[in-house]
Amino acid sequence: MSSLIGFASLVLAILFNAYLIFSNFFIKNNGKVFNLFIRTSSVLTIISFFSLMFAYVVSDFSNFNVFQNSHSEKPLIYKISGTWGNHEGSMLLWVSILSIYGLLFSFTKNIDLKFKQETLLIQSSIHILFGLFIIFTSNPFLINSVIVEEGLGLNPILQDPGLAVHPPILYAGYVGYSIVFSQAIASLLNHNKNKDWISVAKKWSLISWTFLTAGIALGSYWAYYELGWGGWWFWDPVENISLMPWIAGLALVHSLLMAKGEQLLKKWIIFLSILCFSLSIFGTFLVRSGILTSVHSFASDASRGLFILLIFFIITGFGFLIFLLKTPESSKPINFLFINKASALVINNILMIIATLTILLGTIYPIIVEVLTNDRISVGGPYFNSTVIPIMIPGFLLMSIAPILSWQTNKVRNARLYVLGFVVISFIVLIQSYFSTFNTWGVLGLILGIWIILASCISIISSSKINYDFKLLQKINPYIAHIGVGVAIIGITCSSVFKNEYELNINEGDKFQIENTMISLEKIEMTNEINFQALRANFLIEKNKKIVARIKAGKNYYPVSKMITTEAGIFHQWYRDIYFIVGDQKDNNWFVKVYINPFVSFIWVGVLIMVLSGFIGISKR
Amino acid sequence: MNRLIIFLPLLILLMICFFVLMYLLSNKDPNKPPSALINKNVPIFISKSLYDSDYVIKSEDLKNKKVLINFFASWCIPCKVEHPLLFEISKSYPDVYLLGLNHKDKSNDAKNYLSQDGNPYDFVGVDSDGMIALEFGVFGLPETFLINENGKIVYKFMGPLTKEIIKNEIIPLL
Amino acid sequence: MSLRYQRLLLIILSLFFVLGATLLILFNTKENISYFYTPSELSSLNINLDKKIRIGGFVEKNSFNKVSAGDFNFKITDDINSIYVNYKGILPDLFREGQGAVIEGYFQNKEIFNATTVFAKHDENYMPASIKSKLENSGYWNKNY
Repeated sequence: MSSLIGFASLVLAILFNAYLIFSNFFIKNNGKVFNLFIRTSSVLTIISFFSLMFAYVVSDFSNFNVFQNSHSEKPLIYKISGTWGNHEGSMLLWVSILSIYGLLFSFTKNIDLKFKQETLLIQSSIHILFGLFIIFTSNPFLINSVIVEEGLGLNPILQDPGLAVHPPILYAGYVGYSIVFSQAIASLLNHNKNKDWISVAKKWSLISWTFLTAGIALGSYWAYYELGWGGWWFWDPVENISLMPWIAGLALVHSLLMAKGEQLLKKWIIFLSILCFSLSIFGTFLVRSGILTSVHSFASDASRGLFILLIFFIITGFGFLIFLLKTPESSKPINFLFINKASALVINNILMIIATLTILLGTIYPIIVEVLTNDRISVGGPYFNSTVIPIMIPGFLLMSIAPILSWQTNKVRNARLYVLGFVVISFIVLIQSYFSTFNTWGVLGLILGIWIILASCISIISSSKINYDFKLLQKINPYIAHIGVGVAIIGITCSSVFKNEYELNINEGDKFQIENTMISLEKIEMTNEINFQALRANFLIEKNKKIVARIKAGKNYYPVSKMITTEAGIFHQWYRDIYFIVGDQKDNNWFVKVYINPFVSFIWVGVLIMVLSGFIGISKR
Repeated sequence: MNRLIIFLPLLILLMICFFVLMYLLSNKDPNKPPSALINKNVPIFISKSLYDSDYVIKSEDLKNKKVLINFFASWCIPCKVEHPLLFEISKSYPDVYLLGLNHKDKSNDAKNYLSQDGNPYDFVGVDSDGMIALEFGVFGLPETFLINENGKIVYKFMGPLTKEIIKNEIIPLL
Repeated sequence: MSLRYQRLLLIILSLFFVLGATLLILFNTKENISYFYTPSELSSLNINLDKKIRIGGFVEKNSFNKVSAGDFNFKITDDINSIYVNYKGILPDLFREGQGAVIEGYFQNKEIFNATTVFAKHDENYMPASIKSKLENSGYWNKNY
């Protein structure tokens, strides 16, 4: 029953949208009717999504999708997250978020009506394309041909709270760019002279970027504590795909800032808006067509791939074509002095786009090579590390000083203070690293990170009169975001450059010392849990002869699905993580891998600060 | 110059679409492992009968006859779907030796399943730990192998058999 | 500054960065791309000992040998040729004899391969994507396979 409701409302939503678009060519819908149609179709799509979720919650196995991906004994939260844990459901979620954004946008006031309607019409077209995709190639409302009492989905790896909320947040980011895209195209189409779309676009691009940041960080955090590989970023195609719209979106958010300085780079902003959404759809395509080998194995299907490729081609092609035909008139010349805010932002934008293209090239290079030469290659993490990071470094340098540059003149306030600060920091870091381990990348990253934080702090202190209220928070928001980046850079640098790996062969009861910490393998125990067997090694961590913590690491064995999962044990300290993985054994001699990951927590804290600052930015009028 | 730069995104888009389309159409599969069981000898195995554990079948016993090996289990729904088709084969080609291998199943469940849906097999062997399936490189249930008189695997099908597959692929080899 | 001059500056700047990026890419692709082979393809190939290679195949039956708790050797095969592999570290959870695996590393000499990474791509839940989708389309795909 719920399947029927879901399917019917999905089809109805598409019909409503189609009617709206076609009727718009002949009759001039007045605002009320137009809004009614848009909102009805959005609500119908959302109903459709919730009816699928309902089928999951009540374990309605007459729905084929539920039968394949759910199980009546799953905890409720995983039943709910099971709705988007599969291809069909996740595409429905995609379209639902698109609808939610459309609905919210239809309530925006104080903007040109024509512009608003055209934006929503483009939004509807995107909705129709993806709606048809769902109906024809990945319908989540198929009826099960066999009558069954139990479902098949009990994948233990996917049962994790982090993974349950990761896709909706990530999608909220991806799909948010659709509104920015529609706005850009609409403003091109009706030669929108007034600037208010810029301020609207600013808000929406910030919303998408913030969600995307949170989504990527959640995924990365999940990989860190769940996969048991000791790292948090693997340059896996799926990760690259999410990083590309993120960097492009960063460029977009920053170019929109230039509107504030009365120096519109309208052409460039529109280009970036189209690019962001294109990269989002391209990401969806690469993931869903399964043409990339990845640790995330998604079900793949050539016809689905072709369909999304077609959608990607239509939307991106349409976007760039309109861009080509209706190039916005050249705007005021930007005030491109040697060192001012505008030039810093322009250079930063160029760098970000190059970084995006570098990642794109590395990600699709295997496809190009295989088509041309039939060789099968893979591009590994080192490629990305050694190309993307050098490209980003000048950008980070600029970032640390950009907020203090002025819009109109070449002067820098308090220039001497900043130069002094930079020299002192570099000096301290160099000396510190001279006495410990010297590493060029490490030194560079540390100087940059600390410098960005310090420069931002100086700016905050020197720029504002101190009266503590929310307005102040909004005013210093850019600095807050930059502090977040600085904190994250420190975390990233330390955890990747100064990471240490120890491989040990030990017996029960053995003690060993790692970086002034005494660790002993207390005992190894096997326990039977409800649906799995757990093997756990208990590590005792001592410092100054006092017991600091007990950490359990091991493996789980799930007899039903005959799967083994590694459960890493992590000892969190604010300045480092001690990360345990238990390997194989021979004659009671166990192979244990211990990673010392310094300052990993800084990455998550940094990202959290960025996300918070994103929300503060959204709340700004 | 300016025009050229504006054309650039469109060109890159076209190029990306071209390569990806070529890739999609070339039917390549990055996850596909090498499969090379066809025209190989049947892997050596021994399997006890489901109904009488004193009675075993060995790979040598399969010489000099055509054998259709079918991996199945009571928990496997697609197996249930292809099940009636096995009766058709055993009826129209009584010379073909139908060997069913019961994969990772409880013996009572398997017996119930065969008594409810009928037993088309000439012999039902037990593969409770899945070791025989490993030897055959079975990816998932059901999976069907056709073996000729010389003990070579001549055909392998993954997934539930259909009328078309039997008519077009298996019967010509019988 | 005139608009014209500004644009020129912008283009030169962009070109400069693009050039830098291109150089970086060219410089890095040489060492950081690994080629993907099957054992049979390798037998007919001149092996470059410095080149990072990925090999895809099955773990040969009865070839797995545990030297110590963290030191293994096994053979990887495609039923035609096989390659002797050394590996130190933790094997992935899905690694089993007779199952598919992808290994990455360098040849020590013509016979011995030192793996730096082992991926076990295919377990019992695994199916070649093309077949899986075929099954999915026919509606009979079972995750517990």
